[in-house]
Amino acid sequence: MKTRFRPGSFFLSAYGWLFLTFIYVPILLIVVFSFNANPVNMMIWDGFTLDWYRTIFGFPTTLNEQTLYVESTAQLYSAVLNSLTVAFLTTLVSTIFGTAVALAVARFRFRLKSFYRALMFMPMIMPDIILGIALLIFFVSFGFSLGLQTIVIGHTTFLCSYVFVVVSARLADMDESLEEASADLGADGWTTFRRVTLPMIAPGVIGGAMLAFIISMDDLVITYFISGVDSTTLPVHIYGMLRRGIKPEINAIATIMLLSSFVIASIGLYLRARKK
Amino acid sequence: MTAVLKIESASKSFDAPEGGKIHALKDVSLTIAHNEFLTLLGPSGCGKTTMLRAVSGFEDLDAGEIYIEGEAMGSRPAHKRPVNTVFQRYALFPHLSVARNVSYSLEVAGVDKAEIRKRVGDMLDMVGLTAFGERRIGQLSGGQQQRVALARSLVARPKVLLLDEPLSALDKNLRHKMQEELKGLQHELGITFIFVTHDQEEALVMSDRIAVLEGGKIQQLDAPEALYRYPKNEFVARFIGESNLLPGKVVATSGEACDVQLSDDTVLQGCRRGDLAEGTNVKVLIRPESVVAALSEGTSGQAISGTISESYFIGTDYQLVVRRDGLPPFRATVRAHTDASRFAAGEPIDLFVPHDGVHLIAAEGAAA
Ligand SMILES: Nc1ncnc2c1ncn2[C@@H]1O[C@H](COP(=O)(O)OP(=O)(O)O)[C@@H](O)[C@H]1O
Ligand SMILES: [Mg+2]
Repeated sequence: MKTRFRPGSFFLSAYGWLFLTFIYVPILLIVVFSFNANPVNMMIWDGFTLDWYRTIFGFPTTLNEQTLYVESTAQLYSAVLNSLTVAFLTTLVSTIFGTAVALAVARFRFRLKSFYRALMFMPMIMPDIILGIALLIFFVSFGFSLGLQTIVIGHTTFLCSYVFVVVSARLADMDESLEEASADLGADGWTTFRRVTLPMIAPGVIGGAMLAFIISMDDLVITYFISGVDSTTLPVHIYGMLRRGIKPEINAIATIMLLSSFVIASIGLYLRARKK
Repeated sequence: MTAVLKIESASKSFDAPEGGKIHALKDVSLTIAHNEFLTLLGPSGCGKTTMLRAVSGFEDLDAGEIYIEGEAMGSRPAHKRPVNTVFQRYALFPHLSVARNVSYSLEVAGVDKAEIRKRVGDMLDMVGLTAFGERRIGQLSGGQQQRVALARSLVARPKVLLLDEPLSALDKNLRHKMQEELKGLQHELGITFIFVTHDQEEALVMSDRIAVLEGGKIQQLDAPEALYRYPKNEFVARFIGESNLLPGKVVATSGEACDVQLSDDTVLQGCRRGDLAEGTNVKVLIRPESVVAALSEGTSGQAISGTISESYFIGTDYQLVVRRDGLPPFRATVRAHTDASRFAAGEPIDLFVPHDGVHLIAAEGAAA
C-alpha cells in the first residue's frame, strides 16, 4: 500500500538517504581515489590512472619509484595467498563443526543444552582483542609455534559460532516431521541426513560458510596476535602499510577486496534465491 | 483371520512441562486382523497419536509390547518396521518432485530403476495424479498433497498403514470424496489401515471396527453399529451420535427383558445386556431418532409424555426438545409430516420408545 506525501514522511525519507550516504560515501571515496593519479595528496583529483592497480600486480607504471609504497609485490601476494589459505581451511572446518553442533542442539535432548547453546554464542559477543590475547596465551603456553596453523585454529574457534547461528536459524524453520517421514519410509539416520536434512538446510550451510569466509579474510585484531612473522595475512599486511602512511595503492587493494566480497555475497544471495 | 498387529498392555507416559506425569497410554491391548480398517477415535489429547507413534517406532513404550505379524518390535528403530505413516500435516519433501516423493522408500531400499519407475507410475495412476509426477509439492492443492502422501506411504506395500487424522485439513466436500477413495484403496490393496480421527461420523462411515479412546484407555472396541447402539459407558454414549442419557434404576428383570424406572417414575422396558441386577442405578440411553411421535390417538406402547419447548425444522425431520418434570430435557428427532402444527413449541407430545431403543448403561461408580 502506498502512503501519500506528508511532511513527516519527507523527513523520514531524508533521514533514510542521509543514513545511506553516511555509510556508502566513505566506501565510494576509496574506490574513486584508487583511480586518482595524484601520488602525493589523494584528496586532490589529478586525473584518471590505473597505475595503482598496475603496481599491485607488478606491472610497469609511469610512476617514479619514490611515490610507490608496495616495495615488493611478492610480499603482498604471499599475504593474499596466506589469507586465502586460512579462509579456505577455516571455512571448511568451521562449517562442518558449526553445522554438526547446530544439528545436535536442534535434534537431541541432553543435559545442559541451553548452557551449551549460550556457550556457542559467547565468541560472537566476546571482544576480539580479548579473544586474540587469550588465544595467544593459550598457544604460547601449550608450545604451539605461531604460524598459519595457529591462525586457522584461532579463526575456527569463533567462526564455528557464526556458522552455528546461521544454520540453527535454518533448522528452526525446518519441519522436523520431514525427518520422521524419511525414517518412516525406511531411511536410516545417515540416509535421512543426506537426502532430507542437508538439502533442506543447504542455504543456511552455504550462507554460514560464506560468512565465515568473509570474516576470516577480513579479520585483523585476532590474527594480529596469533600470526607468526612469516604468516602475515592481507589485513595484517595492509595494517603494516598503513602505519607508514596512507598510500594510494591501499585504495586499489581495498577496492579489489570490496569487489571480491561483493561477488561472494552475490553468489550467496543468488544461491539462496534459487533454492526457494 | 490372523492378527497382523498385536498391541499388548502398552503404557506410555510423558513428563508434563508443569511437572508430574501425563499418562498418554494406560495398559492398552489391541489385536488387529489382516486387511482390517480399524479406527482410533477420541477427543484431542486422548493418546491417538502416541499409539500410532509407538507402532511406527517413534515412541518407546514404558511397558508392554507390539507385535507385527508375530514379531516383537521391542525398541526396533522406525526405519526397520514394516509400517508406513500418512502424517497429519503430510510431511512431504518440499525439495523433491511428486514422483521423487513417491519413489523415496523404493530408492532408499535400493530397488532398481526400471522397477521404481513402473511402481511409481502405477501408484500415481491409482491416486489419480498421473500427470503430476514432475510437479513440485508447493504447486499442489491440499487434496493433491494428501494423495501424494498416500501414494508415498503405500508404494512399498507396508503390512500396516497408519493414518493420523489425514482428512482433518480438507474441506467438507473433499473430505467425503477422500473417505470413499481411502476405503476403496484399502479394499483394492488389501493392506491393514489404522486410521486416527476425532470425527465420529468419519469413523462410523469408514471403519470395520472402532476403538474409542479416552484418557489413554480404550473405552470400547466394536463394530460401528454395535458401538452406536450398545455403548458400554457414558463416555462412548455421549461421544458417538446424539444421545439422551436419563438417570434410572432397574426395578425388575425377567430373562432378556428388564424394567427401568426413570427419575420421574415412568417405567420403561428395555433389553438387558450384561448382568444388571435389580436395584442397580443405571443411565438409560435413548437416541433421539429412535422415538416415534404418535400420529393419531390410540397409538399404544411405552411413552414419555411432555411438552415441546424447542422445535427446529431441518427438512426431512423436526428436532425437538421435550420437557417433562423430573426428567432432564429430552431430545427427539421425528419425521416431518403435513400436520406441522403438532410440533410447535408449547404443544404436548407423546414420544413412543420401542423396547430395543432403550439401552441401559451401568451408572459410573456403580459396581457392574
Ligand atoms: N512428547 C511429548 N511430551 C509431553 N507430552 C506429550 C508428548 N506427546 C504427547 N504428549 C501428551 O500426551 C497426551 C496424548 O497426546 P496425543 O497422543 O498426541 O493425543 P491425540 O493424538 O489423541 O490428540 C496429551 O496429553 C499430550 O499433551
Ligand atoms: Mg494427534
